Parts: sequence; structure tokens; C-alpha cells
Amino acid sequence: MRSSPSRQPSVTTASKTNSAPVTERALLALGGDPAFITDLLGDLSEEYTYRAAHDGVSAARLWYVREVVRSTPHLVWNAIRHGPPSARARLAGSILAVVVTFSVLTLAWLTRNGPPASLVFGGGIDSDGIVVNNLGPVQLSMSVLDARGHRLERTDVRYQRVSGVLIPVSTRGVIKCTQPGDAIVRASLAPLHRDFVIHCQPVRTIRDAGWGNFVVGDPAGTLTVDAIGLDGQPVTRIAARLRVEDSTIATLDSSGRLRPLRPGETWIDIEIGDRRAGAFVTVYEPVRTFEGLRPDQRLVVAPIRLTRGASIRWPLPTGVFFLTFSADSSEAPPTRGFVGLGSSSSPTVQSPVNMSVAGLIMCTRMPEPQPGVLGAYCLARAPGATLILTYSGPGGPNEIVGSLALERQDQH
Amino acid sequence: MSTTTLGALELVVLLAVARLKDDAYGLAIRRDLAARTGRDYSVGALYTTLQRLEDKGLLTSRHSAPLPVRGGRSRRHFTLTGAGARALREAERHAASIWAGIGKPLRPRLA
Repeated sequence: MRSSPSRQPSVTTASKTNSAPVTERALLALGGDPAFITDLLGDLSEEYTYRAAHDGVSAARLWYVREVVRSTPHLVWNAIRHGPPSARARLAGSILAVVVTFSVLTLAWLTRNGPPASLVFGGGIDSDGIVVNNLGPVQLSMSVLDARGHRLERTDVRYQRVSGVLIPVSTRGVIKCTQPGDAIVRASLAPLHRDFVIHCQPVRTIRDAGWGNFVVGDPAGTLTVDAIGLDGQPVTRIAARLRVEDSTIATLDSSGRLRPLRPGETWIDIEIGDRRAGAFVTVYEPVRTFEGLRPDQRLVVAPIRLTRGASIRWPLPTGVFFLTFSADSSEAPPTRGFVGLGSSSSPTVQSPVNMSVAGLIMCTRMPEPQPGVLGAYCLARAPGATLILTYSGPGGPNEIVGSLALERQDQH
Repeated sequence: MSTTTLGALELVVLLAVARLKDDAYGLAIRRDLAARTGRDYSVGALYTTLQRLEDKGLLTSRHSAPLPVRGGRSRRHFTLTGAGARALREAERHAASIWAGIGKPLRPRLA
């Protein structure tokens, strides 16, 4: 028959230190069985008295603490097995408090900041320094890290020009590229310092980047941008920021190459230094012919291969659209001429490559953007319009290779 | 008759209680075990085992009168029950059965 020790008074020997009641309260707070704790601490106190008399107080205290620590798992287990719901709840709370406290302390220890250990660039970095294309003042952003790589909030980094081209550098790190060239600037935060190169390449203007045509499925291509420096010459070292307005049509990879994704038109913002420009990008869907085009196919391009004396006749959709023929081969002769107006077949282009239309369609020749490109703006009022491309005439290669693009202007 | 399975620590604690008779309280049991086994069991482990043996009905306990010293505490004394005695006897038979046939002390054979 088990006795009811929980109703027994909690007592300790008088010779025990004052820590006993404290320990008892702490263990009771854990939710353990009071009788179990009383018995356990009673034995510990008795043994403590014995050991203090034989081994000394310090040794006895050390032993006492060690025994309490060793017994704690058993106290917890006892509370779980024999404790009432309230005691178990208290125990769960105690364990949770210990876990949370330990976690918070560990987290605080891991995330604590140490003394400054290194200076690193905050942005606009290349392999050996910073490219600055701005004409106006630029704030250098140097980050301060501790040994663990934590970023420290320090505003007392000081800057000075060490050598190179004469450009103004404030102690707060504001520079102004008044002339092209490289300058060595030192960032200091005692006892740390770091020298880095400022590649001053101020850009006065960006020549219109214009437009670019891409075809879905083609590999990523580049957009050509001309940045002009103070001396009127192109700047070869630029740090540009590019942003695609509609990234579902095309995206930019990390090296700035543009990858076409789906047919459509989008705008690319180009920022170099404190100058801005843009480029209009059209992405076409590749087709083999214009035959059977669906109404939703607004931007299509087809390959063209014409041998001397041969011609291509393709049906055209109704509506308003641009037609553009581009010769790919550098050997292709300039395709000069025009597309006239007419309601019947009317060969109108006077060049080795002739573009004409037949049927109820009106076309206007567009100015040639460059040699080898032939454009027309057309309105086909009824089905049945036909495009005729012919390669004839003396001179030039035996075959012309190119592409024919159709760009619908009306909405369906 | 149902038999009670005893763990190793339960067996030595039960034997200590049987051996110490009226003087079987926590500290005395612990000292006895330390002297006989050379192991320093924690007080918590010892009391957990004593409580488990009491729950199994192999031991019973009572509190003594407070010790005749200032602030003296009352000790919790344990006594073997009949079930406890049977469990010890069963353990003894079990051990004897296991050791049966081992006629001589085991000695390492020299190569």
C-alpha cells in the first residue's frame, strides 16, 4: 500500500544551507510531486551535512548541485507520470520557458554583431573597382562587416582620393567625375582601410537605342546602346541598369542579353549613370508561311529563300498591317523600290527583289530603314489579297535569303 | 501465479531494502548500493525506482518520526511486501536457472 507522502510536511535539516528551500520551491514550480521532492531533498540534505563535516562545505555544495542536476530528469519524469493536470501544465510551461529562453539566447548569441572586420562595396562593382558614368555627384556606399559577415550600421567611414585623375572626393564619400580616367580612393574606418578604383567614365548622352526585333525560340540576343562621353566618343566601360516593361514578352539575363519569350512588344528602360534611354523590342512568332494565319497571330515572321527568277505568292490577311522584307545575306543587293496602290496585280518594286500585291488591297511603301530592308503599310479590305515576292534582274547572287515579317495593326 | 519482471536496478534496490530491513530509507539504500556495486546512483534515479517498486506493490513505505535534531526531518522508510519477497525469490530462481550447468568459475583459457 502506498502511503500518501504528498500530505507530509516539507522539511529539511537545519544544517543545510538556505538554498534548500529555494531549490525545493524551484523544483515544485516545475510541477513535480511534492512528496517525491521532499524525500529527495531530505536525503540530499542529510548527505550534504555528512559531506560538509567530512569533505568541507565547498565540496559538499558542489556535490549537492551536481546531484540536483542529475536528478532533474527524474523529477520531470515523476511530474509527468504522477502529477495532476495542473502540475503537468505547469511543467509544460516550465519546459517551454526553458526552451524559448535557450533559443532566444542562442539566437542572440549567433546574431550578435562583432567589431568591424572588413569594408566591402555596397553596389556598382566590377572586378577591380567601381564604374561611375554619372555627370553629377555620386554617393559611394561602402558596407562595414564584422568577422561573421554581419552588416554593421556605421556612418563614420571616411574617404579620400589617393591618386589618379583629379576628381573631388568628400570625406563622406561623395564624388564627382568631372573628367574621364581612373582614381584611387581610400575608405577608412580605423583600424580598417581599403583602396579601390573609381573608373570615371561620365556619359553625356545615350544615343537612341532604337528598336530590336527578336523571334521566339531564338537564343538570347543583345541590344546595342551607344553611350557618348564628354569628348563625344563612345564610352566603352558602362554600368547600365536595364528593366523590361513586360517581362512576359522578353527577359534580360544576368549578362544583359535579351531572351524573347512570346510574341509582343515591350519597352526596355536603360539607365546609364544619370542618363536614361529606352529601346522598343518586338518579338515575332516564327511561321513557315502566311497561309492560314489565325486572327490572334499579330506578329509573325517567315523565312524567305528566293532563287533568281523565282517568285513566292502568299495569301495576306484582311485588315491593316506592316510588311517588312529583310535580306539576311550580306551579299544581298539593296532592295530598292516601292509598293504601289492598286486593286489588281501590279508589280511595282523596281529592284532585284520585287514586292507587289494583288487583290483588294492598298499598300504604301515605307522609307527604307537600311539597305536590304523593304517595308510597306497595307490595308486589305477583303479576303483574297496576295503578296508576290520575286527575285529577278541582273547582277547579285543566285539566291537571296531573308525573312518576311507581318505586323497587324488592327485589333481582333 | 503471475510473476513480476524486475529490471536490473529494481532488483538491486529491492535486495538492498530486504537487506537493510528497518533501516531502509533513501540515503541508506544509496550508500548500500554504492558500497556493493561501486556505482553512484543519483538520488533522483533511486527514488524513481523506489516509487516504481511501490507502484508495483513490491514495497511499501512509511514516514518516521522527525529526527531528534533541530529541524530534524522525517525519513521515508521502505519495507518489502509479500509480493516483493516473491519477486526476489523468483529472480533468484531465474538466475539459478540461467547459471545452471556452469560448474566452475569462468576463467579465460590460456592460448
